[in-house]
Amino acid sequence: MADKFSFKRRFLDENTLLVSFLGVYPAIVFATSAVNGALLGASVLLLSAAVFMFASLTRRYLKNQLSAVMCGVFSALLSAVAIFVVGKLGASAPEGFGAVLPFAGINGAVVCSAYKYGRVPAKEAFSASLANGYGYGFAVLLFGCIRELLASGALFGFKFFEPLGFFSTTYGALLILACLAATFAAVMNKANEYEDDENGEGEKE
Amino acid sequence: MTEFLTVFALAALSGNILLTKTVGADWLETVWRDRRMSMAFCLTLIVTSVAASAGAYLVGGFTEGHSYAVLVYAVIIAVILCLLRFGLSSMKGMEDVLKIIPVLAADSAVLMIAMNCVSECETLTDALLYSLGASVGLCFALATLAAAAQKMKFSAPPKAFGGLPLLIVTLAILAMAFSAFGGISFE
Repeated sequence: MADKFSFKRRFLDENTLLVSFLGVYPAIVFATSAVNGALLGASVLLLSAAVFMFASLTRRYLKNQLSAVMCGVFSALLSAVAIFVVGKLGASAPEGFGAVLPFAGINGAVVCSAYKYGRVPAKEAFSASLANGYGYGFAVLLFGCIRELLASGALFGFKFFEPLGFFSTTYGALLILACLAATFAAVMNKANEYEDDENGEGEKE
Repeated sequence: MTEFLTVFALAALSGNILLTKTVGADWLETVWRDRRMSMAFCLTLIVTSVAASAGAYLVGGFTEGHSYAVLVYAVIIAVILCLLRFGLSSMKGMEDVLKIIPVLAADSAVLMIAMNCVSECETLTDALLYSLGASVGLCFALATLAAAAQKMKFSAPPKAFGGLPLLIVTLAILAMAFSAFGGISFE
């Protein structure tokens, strides 16, 4: 039960993108479609796992600000390796993926989360990194799907309506993100109210 | 003089990295809760950006186009932040600035300003002016959003939209207004 609540807390209550608003830039620039959203989510999940483990393993040697700074450098090192690999893949790599990788690495969703939640024993850090990556990945995939549907009028190749060009711009994307964050907050409020009611009834019994 | 002002104004207005690309939007909630923290953030951001951009510009000729460029720039930013940390830790009243250092270490805005300097500026003076303009523009945009957030405290939005979602809507409207500096295209 404790695990369930721990996962819920990191995945839902403290969702990296929709609640903490971290990693906005890569989401706006790269998550223009469902596929791109999934790719960005996957890269943040992998980077999170590595950087959280780095923060965990170095927590005794690097204190406070220095830990965050070194997490940033380590994340940049991983980004550089990823850019090198994407460069070698050439045409088979998704278009624009190389350009977003530096910012997928150096962003709050990875570095700041690792500094905040990763400085714990390795096992806990790993599970925190997975919850962090899954939370961001879920949000960015949902965001990518909605944006693709509105901006191109199609989803996964199925055309539904005429494209709405407004949603391909930065401000259109921000409005989608705001509506997504508000919907998420409303659902979470309802879920918390329901949980409180159930707990209250349980205590009465 | 006109050329210098143009570089500064372009970086601060039409090329405003927060309002055109949402770079640096991560810290809206964290930083703007009190005035001292906001001041500390702005000053530290400007100093770090200008120093990092100068460093990145100087090594840019060797690193541009290579996959390790991002690592070199991140190391430059890290060195500047470490120097700031060691320089300020012995001074009194600098606690707020020290709290900002982890934030800046994870800030893609500083990295983007440095990378733009390398790819777009021809001289060191241009790079310094661009980085100064970009960081001042970012602080200006954040200050505008902070002022809007202050006003929102006295409004009564729907419960789900309260706080962050409403701030994102404000950011979107500001971004729409600023896009007029660079022209609008729905392609």
